[in-house]
Amino acid sequence: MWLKITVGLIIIVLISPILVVIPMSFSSSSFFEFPPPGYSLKWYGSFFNNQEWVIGLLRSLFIALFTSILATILGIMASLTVTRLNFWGKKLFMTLMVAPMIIPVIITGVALYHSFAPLNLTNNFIGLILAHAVLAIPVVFVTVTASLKGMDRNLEWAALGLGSTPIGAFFKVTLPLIRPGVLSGALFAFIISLDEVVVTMFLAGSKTKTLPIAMWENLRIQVDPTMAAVSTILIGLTISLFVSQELVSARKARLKNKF
Amino acid sequence: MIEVKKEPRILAQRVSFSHRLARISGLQWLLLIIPLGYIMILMVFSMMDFFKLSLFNEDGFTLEYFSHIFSTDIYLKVLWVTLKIALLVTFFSLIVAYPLAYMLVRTTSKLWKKIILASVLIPFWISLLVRTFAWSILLRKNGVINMILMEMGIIDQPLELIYNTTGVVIAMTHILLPYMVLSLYSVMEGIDQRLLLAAQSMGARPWKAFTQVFLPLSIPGVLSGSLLVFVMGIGYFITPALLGGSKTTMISMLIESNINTTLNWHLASALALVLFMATLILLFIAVLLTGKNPVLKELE
Repeated sequence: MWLKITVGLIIIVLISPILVVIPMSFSSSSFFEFPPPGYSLKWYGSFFNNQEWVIGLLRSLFIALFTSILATILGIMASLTVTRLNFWGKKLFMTLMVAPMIIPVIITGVALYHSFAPLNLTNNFIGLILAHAVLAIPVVFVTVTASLKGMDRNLEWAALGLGSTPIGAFFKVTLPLIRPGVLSGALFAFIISLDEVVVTMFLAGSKTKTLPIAMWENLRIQVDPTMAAVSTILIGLTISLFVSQELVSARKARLKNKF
Repeated sequence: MIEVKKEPRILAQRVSFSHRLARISGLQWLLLIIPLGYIMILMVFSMMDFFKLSLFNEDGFTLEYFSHIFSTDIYLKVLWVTLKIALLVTFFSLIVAYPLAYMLVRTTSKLWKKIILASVLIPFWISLLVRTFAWSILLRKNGVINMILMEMGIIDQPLELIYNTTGVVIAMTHILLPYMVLSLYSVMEGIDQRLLLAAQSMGARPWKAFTQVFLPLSIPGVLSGSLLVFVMGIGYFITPALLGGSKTTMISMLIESNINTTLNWHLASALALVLFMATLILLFIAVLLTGKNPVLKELE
């Protein structure tokens, strides 16, 4: 009984930050009053009328899309290496592939800034995509490796036995089987890039200022309730991405059970 | 009589591109080389190149930046604050995560399980800046928490919850909690729940069964979760930079200000190397203690 009460309280504390931000974004007040004295959409208006926010969001989505593609391809290659090939130093290889997740981002950020600056890759979309992909590879690697390990290898052997090439077998047999894992890996990569601040802070310039950088500057200088509107939009975006992914995989599971 | 028509020779273009590719032996090693090269060039080499600045300046090899860090009071204080905040965050996230993970393995209700997992994982994937911003609204002087407490008559004066250690620790605990919950959960899931029933059937009170049977068995999860949260805590940047005050400067903020404000790359590099070595040593301890790499755990 006590456990249930404790856990219930903890859950409330865990989600309260999100629950407070959403009503705040519809507030009519210019201050963060809770509960809001009245409701209006003016902070959404202030978001959509400000070029910096809107262009920042578009840039972020653009970078996130390409980061997700690049990181997914590289992550799948690394996962195939780990599950299909045998070589000396596999543990080291795996550690390197997940290293960006555990090494403090500030170190990665400064190191990339240091090596990108002479190559003219700062204030440049390519540089940002390359850097974000480094941070996104680990999560793709982990999710795809898990689904490759859970897959029936015999199906692949069967395709090879029937005369398929390894490449053909991968695209026609393996990839459809691990698609849920690949999709969620790509989704995680997308979200990591969409939310990246620290590395972007060093690499982005005036022409490549992303939404998180605009948010960061707003938070550092003076916060206005537009932040609450931006936050609500981002919360909605993240949750809808996850729900749609959940629906796709649930539908897959239902279809699978039918046969 | 059936005339068997002879198959003509297979023309070269009928052999598909992928068949021709498959004939090149050793092609599968590209799977290894491409991602490895990517990480090596962008991560390992650029880090090594950057760390070189801490040991070499225009005059050649030098240790002056390290001796400067370890002999200046301000820097030592930053190191101490970093360790203190990371320790507090680890401690509180353990206290909060343990009941959650325990409930997650013990409950038979699917609804509870879903609610707990959702409340841990949804905040985890929501933008870090959004969560930090949300905490700044909750914790500020005329913020939600102070208002509720004053309405209820518990306090007369608003509490100082932000721009100090308290605010940083509260927000960082919330942000790093999922790592702790998942580490604990993965170990607790493997504990045979019948052991608790056995202890109780032999006369142990539920509390005693918990402290003498369940708790000791969950220690590996406690260790790996704590080390993971601690490692992530010492390198944290965004939350302390936004919610901390002048007295809560952490090592990552010092690195950033040395790059962007004072432009002292050598000192920034030395600080980053200290942080990197601390991270490596802690991970090594984690491997020694639990016999597993806490990061690769899910893959083994």
